[in-house]
Amino acid sequence: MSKRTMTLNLSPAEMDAIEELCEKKQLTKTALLRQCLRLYQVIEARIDAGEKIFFEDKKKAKSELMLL
Amino acid sequence: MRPSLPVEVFAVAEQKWVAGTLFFGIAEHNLEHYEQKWLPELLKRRRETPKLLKAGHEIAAVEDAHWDWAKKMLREHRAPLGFRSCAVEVEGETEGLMQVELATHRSRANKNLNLAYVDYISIAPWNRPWPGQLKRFKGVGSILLREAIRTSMDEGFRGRIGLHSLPGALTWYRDTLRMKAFGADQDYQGLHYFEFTEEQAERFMDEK
Repeated sequence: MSKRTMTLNLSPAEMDAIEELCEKKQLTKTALLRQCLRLYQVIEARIDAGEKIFFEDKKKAKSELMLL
Repeated sequence: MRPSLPVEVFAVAEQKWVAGTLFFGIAEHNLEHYEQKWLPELLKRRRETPKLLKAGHEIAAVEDAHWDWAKKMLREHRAPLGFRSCAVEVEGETEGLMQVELATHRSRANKNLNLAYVDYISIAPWNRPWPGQLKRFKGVGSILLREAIRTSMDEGFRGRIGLHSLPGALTWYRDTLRMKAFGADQDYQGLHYFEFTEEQAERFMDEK
């Protein structure tokens, strides 16, 4: 698979968030961003198809995730 | 041209390894093979199952005959980054199909970590055990699972994979592959959930 490179301009807070997530998920920055992208694409595709996304708490109460 | 890898499957009647191809992506002709060749045989076997069980045969049920592969591919076309599908072909015939989901599943062994979730994996009916019939090819399921592990490694998940097993495949995942068992999942039709840890995946990749 051919790959292309891009440069990102991020704030220190955004960079910190990436580094924290990389450590938590044991992923490289590239792998983390690829994971973010595929999750984002899956969510968008399901919303576009008319589905709804819910979070469920420990008591099984559901709250809809509103994507505007 | 579809990207592919050469693979080998074991032809049971001939008792020899033969060349096959692992194709990345499930093509239109794979879906046609499923509809026109797999499905009639799966439905025939499903009809014969009660009689064979009554006669004392131990058979794995034909539990995946309702899977709509065309519909599964539609969700992949809508969000291609979230899925990887592949097909094993031998001499132009489709012998195995798999779709792996990469976006939304976490390991149950370590909830912080993502894994490649084998959402659907299926081999042609003639490659499954059935009373009075030799399997045509052995090894198709292993080729597909190895590809799931390779995908997991490529995406930085270090080989971790997870799956829910249909009842008929339970012993293969639990006893033959010795995947880590998490028991029946009441949130998923009571199907048993299994994972390959990083170490197990590595060992499996090293086996022939």
